[in-house]
Amino acid sequence: MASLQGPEDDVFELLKQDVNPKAKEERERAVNERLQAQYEKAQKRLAEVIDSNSTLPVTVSSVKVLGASRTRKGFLERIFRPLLNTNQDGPYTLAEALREAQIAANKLQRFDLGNAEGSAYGNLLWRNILGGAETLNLNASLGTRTRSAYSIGFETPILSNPDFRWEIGGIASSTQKSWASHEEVLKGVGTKLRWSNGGHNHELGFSNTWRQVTGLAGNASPTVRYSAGDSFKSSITHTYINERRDYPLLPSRGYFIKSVSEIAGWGPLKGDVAFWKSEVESQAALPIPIPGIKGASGISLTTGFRAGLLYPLALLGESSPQLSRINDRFQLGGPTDVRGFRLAGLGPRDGSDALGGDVYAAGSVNLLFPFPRVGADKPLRLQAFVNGGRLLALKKLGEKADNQAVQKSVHSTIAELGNGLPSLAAGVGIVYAHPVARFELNFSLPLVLRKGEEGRKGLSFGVGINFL
Amino acid sequence: MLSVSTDGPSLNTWVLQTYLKLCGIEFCTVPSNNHSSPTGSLPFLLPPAPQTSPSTEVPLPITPNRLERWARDHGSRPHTEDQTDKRCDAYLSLVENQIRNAWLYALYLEPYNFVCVARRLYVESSSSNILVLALLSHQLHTAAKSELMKHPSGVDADSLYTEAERALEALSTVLASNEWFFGRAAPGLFDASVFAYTHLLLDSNMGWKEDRLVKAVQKWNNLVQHRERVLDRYSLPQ
Repeated sequence: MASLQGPEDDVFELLKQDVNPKAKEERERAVNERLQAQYEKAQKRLAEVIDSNSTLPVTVSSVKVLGASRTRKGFLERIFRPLLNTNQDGPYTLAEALREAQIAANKLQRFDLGNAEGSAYGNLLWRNILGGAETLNLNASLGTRTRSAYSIGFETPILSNPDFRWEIGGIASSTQKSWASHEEVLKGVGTKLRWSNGGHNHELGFSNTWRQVTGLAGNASPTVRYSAGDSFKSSITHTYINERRDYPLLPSRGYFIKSVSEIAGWGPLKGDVAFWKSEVESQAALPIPIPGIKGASGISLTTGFRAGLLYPLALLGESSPQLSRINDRFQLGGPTDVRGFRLAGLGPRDGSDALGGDVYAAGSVNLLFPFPRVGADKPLRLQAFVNGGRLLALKKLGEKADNQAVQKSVHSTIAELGNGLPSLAAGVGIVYAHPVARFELNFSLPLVLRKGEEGRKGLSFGVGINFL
Repeated sequence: MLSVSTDGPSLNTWVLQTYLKLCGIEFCTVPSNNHSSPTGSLPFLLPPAPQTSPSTEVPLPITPNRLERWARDHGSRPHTEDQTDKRCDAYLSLVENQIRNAWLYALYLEPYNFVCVARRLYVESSSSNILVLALLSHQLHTAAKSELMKHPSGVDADSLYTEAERALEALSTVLASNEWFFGRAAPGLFDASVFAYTHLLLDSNMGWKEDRLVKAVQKWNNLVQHRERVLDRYSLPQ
């Protein structure tokens, strides 16, 4: 411990000394005790004041309800009017006034006005604007998780070829990312070229996006706090889709392959982030015939596999590659990918925040049966599934890692994917394929769970168009 | 270790760093921005995670209004109690109003200073994209303006500078020939608060272009010496 009356020269020595952790702990405890005592004293004092003045006459001349800007005034008036003195025969005592206020507040509470949750969606499509099959598409949605999303897109076929299209557009959105205690605000413009060739669909896009990690929760982890702020991404993305499933939302035969490759910030692209990002996604379905039953039995086996890699690159003029940011890293877990885990429940964490990973792989096997007495024709199935995955951050990378260190780290992280069992969950559930989306209600049980990962035992509900 | 999130050489950061040093608390500074802060303003403190607690418990950040108390509870050194001194409160309001307003004007609303000081130090670190920088600059400019509009002088340069000049004169008078403010034996939060402004105004690295406020400090020799005293005593990074 630092001596309290050290001579002036010892100032630097004092600054260098670490505070004894035990002493620090003791001091913290003393502080807490003092706070507690102060609080109790204040409470007691307040009670005494009220008690000793409980028979004094008081008047209530106005009542203010905070945070009720959306509630009708007339509605509130009916509740609080009896409280006002003008509507009373004689003056209140303090005790009576407090009691009346309590009664009114209780009444209000029973209405459960709360903060309304929900979402709204609007879409405007203008076809054939210039007489050449051009479309203008405007989208706006407001909600609780995706706070707001607006997009505008103008699309036109090239050389009157329906399989060759060009699009230009912009987006602005704000999304709540509760699994990492922040909100992501995006503003971007981009252009895309789409072409298809006998079921092989390609899309080549160039986009510029300003991203903000903002609106942090009070208990956000230090890692998320360090990640907050602005970044600009300039990237080229290629997407390839080969759809061979008979019915994409509830396939009984066929396969599906999708790959997305993105290069950001490299060379003349500039921006604040630089990486190569690849993701593949596949699904295959196989009908299982039952001997003795003619035609389709409605029983099918589907398997899904997804994997992704984020490879750090260096920005133009910088020697060391950029470490990935929370906006760019992968998240894994949730009712539409690895079931039986919370949203973003897999992978690296700081406290309760999911930080995302640079490498992942996930797979699933589902066995689907027709619903008894409903038949195989209806888009309703019972399913049993096992699914699992791993999400990892690049290992042992410092702030100033060179290309070779990154390469080594990527290799060893990929090798780590196969080390030991993946995080696994199994379950049973009901699947319903509505024309616009697939609904799943599952009962799941996490089987293998790593330290810090958040499994979800019990019922969970998923809606989406793209399930693992 | 305790970390301090800062946005470059801002004056609040200097108050904080100086004050922590005065209290004998070890810390490291981390570059940051307003988005990371629990209140939207910098700086703030991230206390070290207690070694005994489970990993899911995250220490809550400490914002400037809770700082003095936290530093007093965790510091290894006794120092002068600032709050008991009513005189100090009165002078602190000079620093936090008259001087701060003139500072906001000089930094964000003087066009040359904005480009050469504010933009260089606080905006250009955020992104490399010109469009983003332009938008952020605009936001910063409007924020400073709306902050100034809350006060009676508004954005009138002359009255802002005149008020700051008077405030500095008052500070110089109260410091007199003492080593620290109010004749104390050791510096306190008030010394740190004054130092934060005088240091950044007198620091040649800042590159002020419109220097009326700088000259207003230079005029008072004892304030200049007070700044040098803090620098020498706590070996703060220049």
